[in-house]
Amino acid sequence: MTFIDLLLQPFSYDFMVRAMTATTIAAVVCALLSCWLVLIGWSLMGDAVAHSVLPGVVLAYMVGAPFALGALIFGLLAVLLIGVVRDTSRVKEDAAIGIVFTSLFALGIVLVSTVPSQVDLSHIVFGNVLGVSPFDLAQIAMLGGVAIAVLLVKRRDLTLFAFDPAHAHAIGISPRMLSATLLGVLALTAVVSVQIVGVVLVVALLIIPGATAHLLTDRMGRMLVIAPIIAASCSIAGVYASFYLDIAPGGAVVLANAMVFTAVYLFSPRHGVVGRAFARRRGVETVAG
Amino acid sequence: MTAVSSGTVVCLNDVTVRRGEVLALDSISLEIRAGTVDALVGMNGAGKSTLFAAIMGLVPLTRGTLTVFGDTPARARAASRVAFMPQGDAIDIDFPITVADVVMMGRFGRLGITRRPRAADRRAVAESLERVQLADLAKRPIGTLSGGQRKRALMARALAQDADVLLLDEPFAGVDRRSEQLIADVLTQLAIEGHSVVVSTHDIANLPDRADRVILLAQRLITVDTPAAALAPDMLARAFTASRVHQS
Repeated sequence: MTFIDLLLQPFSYDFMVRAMTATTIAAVVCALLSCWLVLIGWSLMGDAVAHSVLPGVVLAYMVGAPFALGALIFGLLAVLLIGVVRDTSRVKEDAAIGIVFTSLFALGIVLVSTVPSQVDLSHIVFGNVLGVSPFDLAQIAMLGGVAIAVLLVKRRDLTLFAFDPAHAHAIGISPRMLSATLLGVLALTAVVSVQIVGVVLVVALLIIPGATAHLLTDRMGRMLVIAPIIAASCSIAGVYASFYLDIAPGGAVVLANAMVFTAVYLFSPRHGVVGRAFARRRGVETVAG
Repeated sequence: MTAVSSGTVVCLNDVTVRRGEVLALDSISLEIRAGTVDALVGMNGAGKSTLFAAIMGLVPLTRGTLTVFGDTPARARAASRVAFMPQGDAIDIDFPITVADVVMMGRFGRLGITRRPRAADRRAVAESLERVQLADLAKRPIGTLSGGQRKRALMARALAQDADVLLLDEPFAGVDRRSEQLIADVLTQLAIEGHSVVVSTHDIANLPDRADRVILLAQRLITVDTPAAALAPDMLARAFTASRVHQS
């Protein structure tokens, strides 16, 4: 068996083709979004929205609606509730996030326990890459396409919002609208990704690629190219690994991302800890004044 | 209502802002005209930031009216007619953005839905950077600049916006001498070109050279006058010994 055969063999199974495609789409959407999330400091928000979709998914199964619809509704509901709790009480944002998403997640677990055997909790919590149906794939491609389109069209505004929301307001661009746009796309993205890597690991795809790219460049434009490339490569590598090593694909994809992050964290030319340590020893300031 | 005389750009009439229990601005009536540099002077908590926020339409007025070019602050903002230069210490120095990109953000209000810059916008950015002598640092990440250079970058952003009114929060605080002089010169130049410039500052010593008028604030308006008159000892005493927060 040649190396080419090794590479091609997974593609002789339709479910593997769908798994590979769906994972890559989800990873690219998450990676684009992660660039803004890590810069704004909204990483926790990604975690919260991802967990909050659980009751939506279960309810959708119960009434026979597309799972994405239920997930989207609860994702947006989570964002709304977090805003309400934060703005109308003395509870701080991180606490508001923690209260809302754990409550919704708990509601999801309770709902699952009331629907015998119809919903496999582990598929939602840990993902089900290999079970992606043609309909699921179409749904993921469509929602992912919408999310990518919105992010690319509004990318300069989103960067403005992330960098200096007060300036956005000063020049008549509503930070509230931009924040709502970003959170709406976040809900959409969580929906796209939950089926692939599951509720728990979505947050990895929503943080790690952006954080990795941030360590590699000082230009937002480049971050938006580097992060999706890393995420797509890790997705493909992860799915291959799961095929040949018989390991959980969702976990493998996230581990691949984590390994790339670790390497970059250590060895990034300008922002890696090893590179900075060497620069200090040589007495060279990495950042000129 | 005060009649809007020609040359009046911002008109405050009996403007009162209450923030919770605190009276931040107390019945301020004031006109800001075209072609002048006004210095906003007062203690910390005297209401300088609130006054800026009111002109930007960031805080609701408890009482009174405030117009910018005879219209609401929101309309003036939407038309990019008001530029605000923040102190700059809130900037994330790890943000992956170049100096030129930051300055380009001054143009966003004039750009289309994707904010794709046109040749004219690039020219405006280049000219603004030239004016604050940062052209050679245009491609540097914003975080690598010194405090004074960063202020000049934020000033270039305000210049690129091509606004009629420029509000600057402590532009001289914590900057090197060269930056300080440069910023002062540009402000003078802006007024000569017909812009309205309002600067909040603690640096009273240099004001006579830098400002046409001093607005002395202690929640209430103590006086609006030439620097020499407004900075007379009795006036300063009234501004700086007034009860910091009076509640009513």
